[in-house]
Amino acid sequence: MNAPSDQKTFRLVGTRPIRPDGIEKVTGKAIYGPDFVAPGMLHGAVLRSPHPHARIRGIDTRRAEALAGVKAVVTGADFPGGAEGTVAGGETPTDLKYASIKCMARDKVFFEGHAVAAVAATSAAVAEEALKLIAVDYEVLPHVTDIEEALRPGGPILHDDVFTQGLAETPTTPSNASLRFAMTRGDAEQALGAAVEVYTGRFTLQPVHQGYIEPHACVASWQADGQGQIWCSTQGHFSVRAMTAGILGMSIASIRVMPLEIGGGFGGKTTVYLEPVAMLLSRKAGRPVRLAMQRGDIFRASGPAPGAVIDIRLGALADGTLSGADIEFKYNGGGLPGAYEVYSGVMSTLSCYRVPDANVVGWNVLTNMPTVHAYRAPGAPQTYFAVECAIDELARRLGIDPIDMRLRNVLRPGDTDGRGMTLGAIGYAETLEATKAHPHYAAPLGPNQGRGIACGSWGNYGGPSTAAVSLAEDGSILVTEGNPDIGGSRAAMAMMAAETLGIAYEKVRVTVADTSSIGYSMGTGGSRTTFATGMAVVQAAEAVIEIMKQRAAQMLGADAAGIEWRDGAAVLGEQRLSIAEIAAKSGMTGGPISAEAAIHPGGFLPGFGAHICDLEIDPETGHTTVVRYTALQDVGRAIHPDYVEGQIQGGAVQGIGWALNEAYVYDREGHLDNAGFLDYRMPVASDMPMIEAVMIEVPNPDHPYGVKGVGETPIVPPLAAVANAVRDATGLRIGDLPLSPDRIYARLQAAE
Amino acid sequence: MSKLLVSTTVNGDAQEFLCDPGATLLEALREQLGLTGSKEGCGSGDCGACTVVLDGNMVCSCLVLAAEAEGRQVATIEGVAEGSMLHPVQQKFLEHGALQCGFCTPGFIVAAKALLDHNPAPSESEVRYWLAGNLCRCTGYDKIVRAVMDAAAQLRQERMPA
Amino acid sequence: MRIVVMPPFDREFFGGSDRLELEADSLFALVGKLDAIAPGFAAAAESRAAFAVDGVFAPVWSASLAGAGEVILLPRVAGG
Ligand code: FES
Ligand code: FES
Repeated sequence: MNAPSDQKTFRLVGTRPIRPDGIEKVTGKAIYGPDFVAPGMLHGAVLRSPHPHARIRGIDTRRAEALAGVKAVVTGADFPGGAEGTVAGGETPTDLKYASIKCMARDKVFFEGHAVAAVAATSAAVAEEALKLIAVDYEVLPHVTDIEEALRPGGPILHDDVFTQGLAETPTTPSNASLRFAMTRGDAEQALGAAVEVYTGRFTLQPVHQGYIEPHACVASWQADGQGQIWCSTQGHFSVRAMTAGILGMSIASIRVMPLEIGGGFGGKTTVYLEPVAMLLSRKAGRPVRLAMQRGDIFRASGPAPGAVIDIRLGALADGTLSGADIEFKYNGGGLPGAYEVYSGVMSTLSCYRVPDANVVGWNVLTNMPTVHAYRAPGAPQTYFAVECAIDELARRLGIDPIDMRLRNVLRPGDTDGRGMTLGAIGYAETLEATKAHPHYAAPLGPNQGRGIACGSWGNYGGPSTAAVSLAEDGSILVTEGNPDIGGSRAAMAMMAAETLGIAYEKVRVTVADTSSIGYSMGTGGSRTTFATGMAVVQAAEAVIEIMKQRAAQMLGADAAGIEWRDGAAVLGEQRLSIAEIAAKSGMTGGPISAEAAIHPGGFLPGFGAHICDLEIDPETGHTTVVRYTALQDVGRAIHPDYVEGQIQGGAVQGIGWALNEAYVYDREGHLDNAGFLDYRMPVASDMPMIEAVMIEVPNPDHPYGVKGVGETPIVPPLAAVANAVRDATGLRIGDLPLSPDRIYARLQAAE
Repeated sequence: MSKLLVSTTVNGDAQEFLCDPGATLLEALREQLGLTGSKEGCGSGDCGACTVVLDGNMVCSCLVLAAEAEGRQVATIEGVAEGSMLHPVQQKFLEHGALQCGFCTPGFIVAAKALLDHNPAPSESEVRYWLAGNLCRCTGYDKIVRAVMDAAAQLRQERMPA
Repeated sequence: MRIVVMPPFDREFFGGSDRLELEADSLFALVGKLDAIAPGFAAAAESRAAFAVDGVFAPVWSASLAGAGEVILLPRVAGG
């Protein structure tokens, strides 16, 4: 369903050309993080803590250093002590102190798998051998991995210098609750008291991993003059540069980061785990060093999304109007402070509904598991899970259709959202209307089947971006940008440039440049790239058009003001000069033609999705099969629909995995029990039906082609869509994820 | 520990390499032969990113010892296209946008080609079960399954006697 | 011009009050005035605040606030 409300038509925007990096990727030629080889490269390996919580009394590396083939060993003592301050790497600042400790422990380890030492050697086998020769003297400390246990008085405290932020009174004793953040509007208690129905419930979610298939990997090379190079796969090579420089005390311009192809990130590759360590090893060894994580390390030591405990009271009037909400949630932040999910969790809860009286409180709770990191709409899926399940229950009690219930409350243009922002051209209601009209919603259900509806939204982002457009001598076009292509964005950039210039898609070639070859660009994340970097590409293309008009004016002996740009040519009356003709004469009209746009745009708009999930439950086993799934989303305008649909489908399936299978499981010793793809069960092809992605196009007037940002929203609705479908099929409201067969079976048995 | 000399055939070419007795075929392909198209997502047989065909059988190359390739035929992603002519599975992956990050793609393409070599007309559910050993975190599988079904249809048409 | 101060800045810097009335030509000037009220605010704002002017995010602090009715000050949120 493509119904742009402004009905603007485009030559290329909205078509589905083949992506420019496609052939390399289907033939195995593309070079990803673990594929890169530097001449003379050493192989690194990282020693990781077997304990979830321990003090490091000492590390003896002498035997490892003496092993033949070992060229360098580093420990926390090799890191400059003074790394402090923040790096504005992403939308939120990164605290360098904790970023550094996350790369390598100092006096304490905070989770199983925390790095304590690293080795570089002539082969991977020697490096692994050397790790066994490093003796770490640990004083094992009591640990805690559960949110509520971490808050219990008298339990282990992770950091004696962390005091709860955001309390009315400054606390005097350290706490695992590192942050409290609240937003209040109106009088929630009074509204709940006056409500006709109030749903009260508790919801729990386990930490889940981003699950990118490509392991973290990099090669770093330090030079004797203090310069360094890094080849890595990351969502943001400029933040790799800034964080590595900040942690190691190098100047930013001295580090050049080459972005390799990236094999998935979903937010998880917006930080550094290996690069500063590899750089230190290279500095000691005088040769390039490769570091890569194995899958077990990735689960144990790289950021999952927080698990949560959420208490909700949601009140409604008889007509379905949501009148009041009181929500308190606790997120499992992992070993180190600095997670931002609580902020986004609070601000995105109820962000698509008008609830006049609401009190939302979030806590970040430190535990002995890896420090959480961004995962697609970070902080939002958890609270939406609770809210959308609560709305489902209220709709049932009030006898109102669940879509009508949401339509009654959903924000419309001109309304104010949970952050206090008045919103412009949002398409929430259009998306819900389309959901109601979709044939899936009226399709009959079979025995043991149920249907769930849920919504979700995400604020999206703009952020700083740089792009350059230049003319080759034959009039073909080069676009240079600074955002790693994680899901087809080169195609979108080429399309927007070609559309603006009025030329064929194939005439434009796109390069994702290293940090020394293009100006600063914030990472590929926050659903910002096609919006913000796309806008930079369009502005640079427009600037090139202006230059070409002036050059054409010179060639025609006319005034540039009279020249029009039409269909890829400068036009003056009957006369027409193509880009190729202008390029051919550029040497005589002033030299090379190129332009750069470095921008920091506002004007982004949130995305909104509504999902319909049908599933069937086997009453004998509690096993759940998703039989039909439809995901509708206001996407602004889709530049390349294949990759927009792909974002929606991929995000939906990640959300379904979170709902049904995925969870971090810790044993009593604080060891992760399922640190591999066999036991951490992500959805596979045979688990899933087709995911019908329906793009609702309500264009963003503040973007030249109407883009809003797509990637994060689709993971928000599925958790509740699945749980609401289970409720519909069984009559059971299960608030604890994952909805695994044993859990459903036990509840079915108990209900009998 | 002395190294083993392994003589094998990779994508039709005779190849020799030295490896540790414990080295996997995936390591040998990537490190010794520079064929980095086969990826390591897990090293434990759970993701399929390393899928290759060994004497006609689809295997996870991370679970095969390099030494086991002695005297056998290995087919990797690098040999799926004929010269610069893409295989229909590769072409359909491009046309359907069946890759986002593309990291899982080599494994999926090798696996899908192996399926179509055996079964020219798989049902959707046969495709899904055949590919169940390959993880993709980006696409939700929808476009991958469509691309494979479409490639099967095209191959059937190509094979039809004129 | 109404300044709406969202948490955590209201408590952290302005004694819990979330509505201020101030005039300023630009966000730079506004941040300067807020810093005069609550010393330290400017540094915090640079690293972790976002501003929205009449409903549109305003990442460029030099833009004119002439005619603006409302400025919202809120924490920046990370995406994935
Ligand atoms: S790397 Fe072989 S199956 Fe994952
Ligand atoms: S396309 Fe990224 S894992 Fe499949």
